[in-house]
Amino acid sequence: MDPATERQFREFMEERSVALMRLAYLLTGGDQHAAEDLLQTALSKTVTRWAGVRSPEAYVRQVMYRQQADFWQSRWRRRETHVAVPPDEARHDDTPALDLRVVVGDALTRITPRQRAVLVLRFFEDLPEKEVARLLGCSVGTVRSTTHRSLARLRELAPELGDARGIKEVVR
Amino acid sequence: MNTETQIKNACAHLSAQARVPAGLTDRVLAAERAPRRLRRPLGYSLAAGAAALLVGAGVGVTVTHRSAPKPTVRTIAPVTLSSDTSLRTDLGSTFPRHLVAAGHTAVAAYYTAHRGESGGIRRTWYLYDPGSGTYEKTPWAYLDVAPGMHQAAVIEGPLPAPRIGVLDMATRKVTRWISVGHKVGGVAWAPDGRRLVLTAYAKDPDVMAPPTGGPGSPQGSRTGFAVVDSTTGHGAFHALPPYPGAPGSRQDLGWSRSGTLVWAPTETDPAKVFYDLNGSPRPAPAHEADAMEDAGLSPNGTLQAKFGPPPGPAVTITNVTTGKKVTNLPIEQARAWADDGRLFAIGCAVKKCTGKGEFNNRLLLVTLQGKITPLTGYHRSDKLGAWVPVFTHR
Repeated sequence: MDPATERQFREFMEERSVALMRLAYLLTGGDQHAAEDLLQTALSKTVTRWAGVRSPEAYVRQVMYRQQADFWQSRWRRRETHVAVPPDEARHDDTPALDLRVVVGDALTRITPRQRAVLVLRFFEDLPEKEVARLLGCSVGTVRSTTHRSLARLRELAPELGDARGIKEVVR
Repeated sequence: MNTETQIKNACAHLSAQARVPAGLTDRVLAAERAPRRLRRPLGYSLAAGAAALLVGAGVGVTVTHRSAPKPTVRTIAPVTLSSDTSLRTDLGSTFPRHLVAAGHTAVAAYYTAHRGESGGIRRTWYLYDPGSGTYEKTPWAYLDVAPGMHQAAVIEGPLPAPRIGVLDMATRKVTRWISVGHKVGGVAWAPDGRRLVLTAYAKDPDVMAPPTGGPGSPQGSRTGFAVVDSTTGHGAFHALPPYPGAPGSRQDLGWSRSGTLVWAPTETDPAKVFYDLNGSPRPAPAHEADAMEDAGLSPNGTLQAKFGPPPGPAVTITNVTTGKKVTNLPIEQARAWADDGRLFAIGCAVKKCTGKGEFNNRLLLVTLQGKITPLTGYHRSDKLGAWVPVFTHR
């Protein structure tokens, strides 16, 4: 790697590493070590193709999405995290908004990587179904059905999350 | 708030807990320059069942795998500072119930001490629960919290115990039990949040026993230490007898700032003696063996807090690179750095900081300019049952 490319890469990391790490952390369900591995793998692939990559950030993100997609094609059934004692009820105190974020966030870590990836792309990344399908290499119908099932599972784990009407609205 | 917004908020909240590992850029570039066979994240090699004993850090270090004869290269990434630096206080009660945090540091746990049946100290531990946002009482006899506050290393009583557990703080479940073939009484996480140093003892380290070998003979029953990888449980034990004249029978090992060395306490100057991860003596890193307040060096490594000058209460902050005094702070103890400009401190009630009043104190946040923000309610720190905070990078 020539010094100019290395400098560009370092500048890129300085500006974007936090956002990319956050995405990796979300995609791996809050597993810091898995997130580090996922991001490092994506960055390594990106840096080897640096000269031909038009948007490094988009490329890193796509590699991470695809990496997760590859991962859940073969292993996602074994990756759902079960806890011995699910929480009996929502925790309430004087900060309900924070609690809801915690409860839903906890539920996000307990769904499958496939479900989580679709929810992250749709609602955190704000991508339309068509774009999610393109990134994950599947059909729009698959994205739509996975979104529906993912939301239903999320509501099982976090009953405080919206209502049935809300789910219909977001998968429309 | 509709479902979409709720999920978006939850994602944002969850992702804010992510920490960019220090040295990530260098690691990627090093992998790019390395031979192709070495281009893989460490997690993969560990998941393959390799035993990892990390030696050295900061730059390149060697990872020795029991099942892999050839060493590979990996930079240990010290845990970086948190993106959540919000101020969290709990002023309402003597014992904190809600999270106490400032800057990059939080009170991740605390304990109260009581007299046990054998005459030793028994600790009751309260560990932060990220789900409820409160400290919850635990059954463990000893624990330490990993940087990032996602995991804790726990030891069952009575001490010393034959194994330690790696506890998921969110689920409150032990995800891995680690045994090193020796009974363990102390544990400390490395700055990388991955390795642990376990201190082994022949007897309960919290029971004071008179020296058996006459004056000057070792007081404790420490037998050695082991550095283990929390994700694989692999590591090696190294004999390390108690240090003559060291304070008390508990002589737990700790980590150097870089995570390349471990240290043991002494009662003399220097206050710490350092060893490499195989137990061989090593020179102390600059200023890390100085007798100073618990806070140690500031995160940027330039500031040091020392007790005094009398009559106090006072702690002096010195710039170790210039040797010049930066300021005197009106606090009793400097316990941990919140960031490079603020300290967690113990301070007593104004105008009552003399005689027994000095023990009626509470946890404070103090800036280098002397601005004080109370973090908890007052308590009597000289009584058994007082709470003792454990600080962790959050």
